[in-house]
Amino acid sequence: MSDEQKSTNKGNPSLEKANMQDTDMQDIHAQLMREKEEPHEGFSPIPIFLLFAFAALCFWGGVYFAEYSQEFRWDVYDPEADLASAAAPRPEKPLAEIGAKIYRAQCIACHQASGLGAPGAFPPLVASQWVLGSEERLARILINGLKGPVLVNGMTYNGNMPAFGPEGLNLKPKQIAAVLSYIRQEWGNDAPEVSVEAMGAYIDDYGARGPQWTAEELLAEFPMEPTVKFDAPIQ
Amino acid sequence: MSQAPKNVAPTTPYSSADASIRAELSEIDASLRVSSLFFITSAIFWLMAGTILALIAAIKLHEPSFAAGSELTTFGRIRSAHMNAMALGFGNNMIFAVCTWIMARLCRTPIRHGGLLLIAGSFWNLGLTVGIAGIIKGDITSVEWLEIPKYATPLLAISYVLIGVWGIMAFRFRKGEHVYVSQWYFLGALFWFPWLYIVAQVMIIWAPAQGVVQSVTNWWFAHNYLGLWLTPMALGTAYYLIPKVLGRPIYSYYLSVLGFWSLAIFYNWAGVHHLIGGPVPVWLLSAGIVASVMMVIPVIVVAINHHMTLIGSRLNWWKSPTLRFVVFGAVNYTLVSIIGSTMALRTVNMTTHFTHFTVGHAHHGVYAFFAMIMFGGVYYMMPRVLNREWPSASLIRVHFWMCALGILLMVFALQICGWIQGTQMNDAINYPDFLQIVKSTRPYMIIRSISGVMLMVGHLAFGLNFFWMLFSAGAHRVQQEGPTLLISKKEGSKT
Amino acid sequence: MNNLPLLFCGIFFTLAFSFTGIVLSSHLQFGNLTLSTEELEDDGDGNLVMVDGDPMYPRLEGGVALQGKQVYIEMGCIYCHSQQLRRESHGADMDRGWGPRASVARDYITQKRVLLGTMRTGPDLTNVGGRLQGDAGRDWHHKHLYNPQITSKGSIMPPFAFLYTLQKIDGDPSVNAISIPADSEYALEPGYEIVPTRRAVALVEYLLSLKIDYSLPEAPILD
Repeated sequence: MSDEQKSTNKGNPSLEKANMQDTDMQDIHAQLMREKEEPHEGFSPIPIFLLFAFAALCFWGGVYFAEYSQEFRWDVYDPEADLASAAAPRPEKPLAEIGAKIYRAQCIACHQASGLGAPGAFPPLVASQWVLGSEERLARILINGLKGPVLVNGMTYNGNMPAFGPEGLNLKPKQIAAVLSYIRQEWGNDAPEVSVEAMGAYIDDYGARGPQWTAEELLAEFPMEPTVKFDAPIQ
Repeated sequence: MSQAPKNVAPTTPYSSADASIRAELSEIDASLRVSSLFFITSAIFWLMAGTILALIAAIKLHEPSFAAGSELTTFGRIRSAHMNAMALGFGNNMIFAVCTWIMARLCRTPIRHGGLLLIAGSFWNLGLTVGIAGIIKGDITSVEWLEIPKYATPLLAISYVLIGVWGIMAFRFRKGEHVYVSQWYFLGALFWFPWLYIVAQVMIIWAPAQGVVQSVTNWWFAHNYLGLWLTPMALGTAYYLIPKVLGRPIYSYYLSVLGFWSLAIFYNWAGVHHLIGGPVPVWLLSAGIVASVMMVIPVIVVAINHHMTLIGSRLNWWKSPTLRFVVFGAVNYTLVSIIGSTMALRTVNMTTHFTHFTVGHAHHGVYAFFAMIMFGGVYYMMPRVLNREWPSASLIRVHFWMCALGILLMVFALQICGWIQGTQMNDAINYPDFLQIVKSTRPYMIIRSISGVMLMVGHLAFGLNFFWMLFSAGAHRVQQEGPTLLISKKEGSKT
Repeated sequence: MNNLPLLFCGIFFTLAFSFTGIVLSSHLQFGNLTLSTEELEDDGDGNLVMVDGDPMYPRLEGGVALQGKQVYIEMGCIYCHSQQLRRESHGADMDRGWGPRASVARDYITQKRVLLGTMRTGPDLTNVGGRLQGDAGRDWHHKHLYNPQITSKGSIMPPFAFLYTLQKIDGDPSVNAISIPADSEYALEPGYEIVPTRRAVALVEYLLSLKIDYSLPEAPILD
């Protein structure tokens, strides 16, 4: 139906020009003939409540930005930071809380979040005399590592714990004290905290020792405490 | 030429005066035939390639040993190849096809140098092929949204300049005084994109800025790739197609103006919300958050404008393949933008950041909004350019349902997964072991792969229908009188 | 809208506005930070300030670790691993023990390509070198890269076995062979060993080099 259309357009110069170029161009085909007209716009007004809502939103934006722009400083990264009192000393955190983070990052892969370890390889820390007993014996294991069979709560484990002292991960005295205090007080364990000073002294003493300890070596110096449930802290 | 004037009374309700405008449109359509076929064919090729890459990447997220034997198919590269094939291959080719066509029609001017567009298009696809091969080979830059290696980007830039120049030429030689809302969006996008792209390339790849200035620039670019390139192109298309197919005016010119300018002002600033909580000064992040929330304004405005134009014509837009896709896209534009504004709030972002929630959001925006509107554009454009009808309504239905349901399933799965992932990540007490979190994402990753298969079926239906139409010559022109509609063929005047 | 000058000016100035506000102002404000000295001093008001001395931190990129960073880039690790730590009150990065403090802009000034990342399909790596160190860390990384299932059963990280060579042991076993326990289900046939390629060695050195173990004036390590 469309081929004929062109002949009605003889008067239109642009079309005549097109006619000479290509007859095909004149093909005002069915798809075009059924098209609606090219789009145009109506002029309905913007609902007034919408403008109010947008104004309120803009107001909120201004307030929010003023509240959290922190004086446009490049060195402030916390929107809540109180710049005026930034100088105030931070409260000291309990050792066990610091230790919990280190434990999550370093220890759970083997000893598990539950502190129960894994049969055969990774001994439990819960209710273990090695954890609750001698502070120095425990510190040595963390600082230099432990290799070979070890008897814990009646089971033998044959693991290979790496050093976390100067020859390994190089934890600082405070971090060592923190993680030991944490495992001595978590999961129902109730041994006392260890002190940062003592850990510093131990690191000075044998931080550069070299090989990991064996259970035999440690027990020779610090015999295992009798397995009683102890209510009072034992040094 | 030789026929006698028959003075046909067309079977449509238009006068013969109207016919001269139609003749003009016909000339424009014909002048764009070759280039638009080239772009759409390329777009479909990239769509297929991108879908296959997407499926490989998706399966890897629950079966890590799948296709893991070679570094060419490692996750980081396949995923990036997928993203670039979709965003730059499918997305831009679609834009070059559909938006240039609408632009030409609105400017009422046939294109002058069609060859220019073809050269530009060839460069674009060549550059992209080189670029994506480079990504797979290992020359990936690992800069998000700018993965294409350094040696391919100049080709893309040249090609883009040619297309941009073409757009401005079309506008320069336009007829008629009035500049329609679609043209504002197209002009804006044509101008914004090269600025964004060049600044990002220079400050990140060619002459890297110091430290996190790179990241800030990166997200300014990447978010604006969606906000100032894909979004205005899709909105402009919707603004053209909705009133065009329904034959009624856009509800309000004033809302169009408000929507355009508020988008232009606020979208710009929103990108830095991708760095919330990161090593970027807090004032920048706060500015990004405010702008993201302010995006509610253009979104609501556009939603009202489209809704009021569509209201009362449910049957018409449901019946028309074009409008069914466009309306789906427009509704999802509203949804995805509101979700996006919410995600920018610090408290929400704390959970959604670094998780699949963001991935879901990106797919929601680029696919459920942008791609669906572009599909709608193709369904409208091709019968006019080719002077043929779509061969199969069933294939269109398959395309629509598979893509619509597929993308919604994907967005749901990813966002639920992301929320769980984020909640667990922020709970170090109950989920101290990261592996627990990884494992809890796995079922959702399987659902995501299933949704990917659905999308692939949809894309195959689309591709099949398109090539059927392209190669089956005039058969349908003779047999079929009306347009291909999705409900009934009795009322044949509303594609 | 028929006022074209207004349209064009508007299109220009909207983007110019955000370009100036976000990109240029960032570049001017924190695009030229300097390295920090090793020691920081309290200025009496509780603020730490840099003192005279060698600028040390963040460390410069270089050596094998820098080659490893190139491998990290080529493999697209960034798409699953971030390198940015969020502050104490925003998320649980600190509670997980991922690092001793939040990362700040100055931490990245020595990096030619900044790999912040925005996805954590896997854990954050800003301070992975602080979590896994020395020979034990090296050994863990090699096993994990060769096949993540050996160290992290159920992980969805792809194996990077193509960065390793399976070879017949000729005489003595290689010193750099990966130690897969003989009783593991991933153990090799007797007489064979896995050795890392140069790229795997570099990648692991890069991972070991990623650490936050220094204070900056604006971001002291407090514990």
